Amino acid sequence: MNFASNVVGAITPLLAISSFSIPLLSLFIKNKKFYNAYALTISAIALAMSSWTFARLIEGGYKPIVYKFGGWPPPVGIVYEVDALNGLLGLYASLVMFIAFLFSTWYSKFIDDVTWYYTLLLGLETGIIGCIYTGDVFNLFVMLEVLSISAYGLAAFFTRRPTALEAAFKYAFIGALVTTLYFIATVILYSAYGTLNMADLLGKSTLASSSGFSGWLFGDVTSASLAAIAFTLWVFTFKSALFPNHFWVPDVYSAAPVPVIAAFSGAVEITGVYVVVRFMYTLFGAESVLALNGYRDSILLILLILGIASGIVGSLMMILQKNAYRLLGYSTISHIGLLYMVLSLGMSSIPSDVLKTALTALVYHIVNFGLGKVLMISSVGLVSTPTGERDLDKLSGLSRLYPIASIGITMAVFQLIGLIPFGGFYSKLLMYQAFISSGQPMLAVALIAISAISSLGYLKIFYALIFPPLLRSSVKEREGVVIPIVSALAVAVLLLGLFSPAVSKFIETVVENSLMPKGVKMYYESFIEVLRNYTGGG
Amino acid sequence: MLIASDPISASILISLVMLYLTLLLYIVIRVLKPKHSESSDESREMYLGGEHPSILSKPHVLQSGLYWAIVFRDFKKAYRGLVEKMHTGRVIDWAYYMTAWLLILLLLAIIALGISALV
Repeated sequence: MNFASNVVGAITPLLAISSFSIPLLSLFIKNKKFYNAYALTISAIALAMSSWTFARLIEGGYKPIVYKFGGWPPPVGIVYEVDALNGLLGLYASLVMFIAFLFSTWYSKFIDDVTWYYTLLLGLETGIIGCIYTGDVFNLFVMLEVLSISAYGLAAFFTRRPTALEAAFKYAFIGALVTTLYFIATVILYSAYGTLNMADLLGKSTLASSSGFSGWLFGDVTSASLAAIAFTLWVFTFKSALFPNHFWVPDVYSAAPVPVIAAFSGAVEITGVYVVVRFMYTLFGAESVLALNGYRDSILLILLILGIASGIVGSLMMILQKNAYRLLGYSTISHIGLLYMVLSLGMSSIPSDVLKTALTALVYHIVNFGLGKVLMISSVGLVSTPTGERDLDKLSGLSRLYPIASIGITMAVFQLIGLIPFGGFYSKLLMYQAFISSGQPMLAVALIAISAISSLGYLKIFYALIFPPLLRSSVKEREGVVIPIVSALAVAVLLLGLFSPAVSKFIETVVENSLMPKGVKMYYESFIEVLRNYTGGG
Repeated sequence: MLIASDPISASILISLVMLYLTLLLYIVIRVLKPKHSESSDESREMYLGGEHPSILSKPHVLQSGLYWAIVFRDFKKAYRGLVEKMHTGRVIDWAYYMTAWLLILLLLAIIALGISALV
């Protein structure tokens, strides 16, 4: 287990050091191909490490792996604690980032300076993996900063485009305010609980037990928890682009480099969703002080309402868009709405088997949506990048030059709408089942309505890129590595559907061992075990 | 519940239902379709949809004109609200909606604390 925990601890330092090395390397090496190979290799190593970590988790019966930074025991030192949920999402995020890096090797021919591009993209991956793996609320803030600053830089990457600068400025301006509020939330938590460790917070807020190291309580934990969760939810609904904190998405998507859009859609927003789930189901679950006077239920109800609003607003706005990536930005907002609708079913009145189905649907849909979206962005990116155009009318018929893009777009549309036999259908079916089983048929109707409205938006991409004849003369670029990317993703989204019973069963096991009471208990016990090993206790 | 618990049979069943509905829709359209298509001045105006007549020279309708009826006629009010009040692109408008969400969160926290103080 020691080696496994060392691997967990090594991923983010490896990514961070590799990122910061690039500006130094650029003093000596100017070859673009070198940086393509360098960044791709680092990303592949990170993917291999996160895969290995998840394999060890399965091998160990999903017992969480704890890594102590600097050898300091929790809660004094910072730890990474990887359980079934963040193990799976860490693997998923590494995969999405690897695809983004692979796509970048093709995309780099359209970029003048790749050194800063790869510095920032590796920085982004550092932040994402750090946020997902961390077991410390303050380290989460640090990793959130790493993620955010890289994201602002990548949004402004095309500095000669006024739209990119405007989008990045708006995103950074509000983003800086948002991360500061999260910092305040950590201060509030520390002042009351005397700890920043997530498992220790769970113990004190839910199990009413103390690790001993952090003492007992130092203030009014109830009011501190209420204030901290209010700030935290606001921050991470911004990061995950839930209505009404979604405004930055269309602007950033319409201006950022294509692989960055894929990384945002597939990993950055999902990181925000993950943190909300971690806070609402692990740190402050149904038995925690947050359940006081129905506060937790009220919060979940509001998240549910915002989820519906996000789904509807996102899908309605898709219909209006002329810019292909802006349209895909609103599509992300719509899908994030669906994710919040299903993650909000953790109210006290909902039976645990229904909650398990809901959370299984959530994780399943994260994977389906993420891979479907990366497939869509890669395919549209192949068509749009050589022309430099992002307007759908100006891209009219261009995917006829790239049959693989037409196939990719078609498969991605089917996946995102949720057609049989694609994975998107089965995760929506699970959502539908959860809504019906919870006695909320109107939510099932909302799910269908959102999918139906958003299909109109996806059809615009179909209609603009695939159906019309190719009118203007356009030079065709070699597809290169995009062919295997699109082919592999197209097969993946199909397999996610064809093997739906096995996939959903597997995800259900992950949920059982992370977010349900059994998993939450394991999360706490792993922390206690590390502490006991350190103190020499039994 | 029975359908949802078995995704394979659900897929087959839903596919068959969709096929049946498509077939039904096709038959209805074929039966109701007029023998001779009629074109009036009014219908030609609808096609133009407020666009410049030059679009008629295009070989296909531009994607931006695809949902003209939805955006500018059927859901005109909803879209006016969404675009002119919410998605204006101004940071101050974003802040307005985002702050409202933060205030709701804080208000709920204060209410929960107030109730606990009373109890």
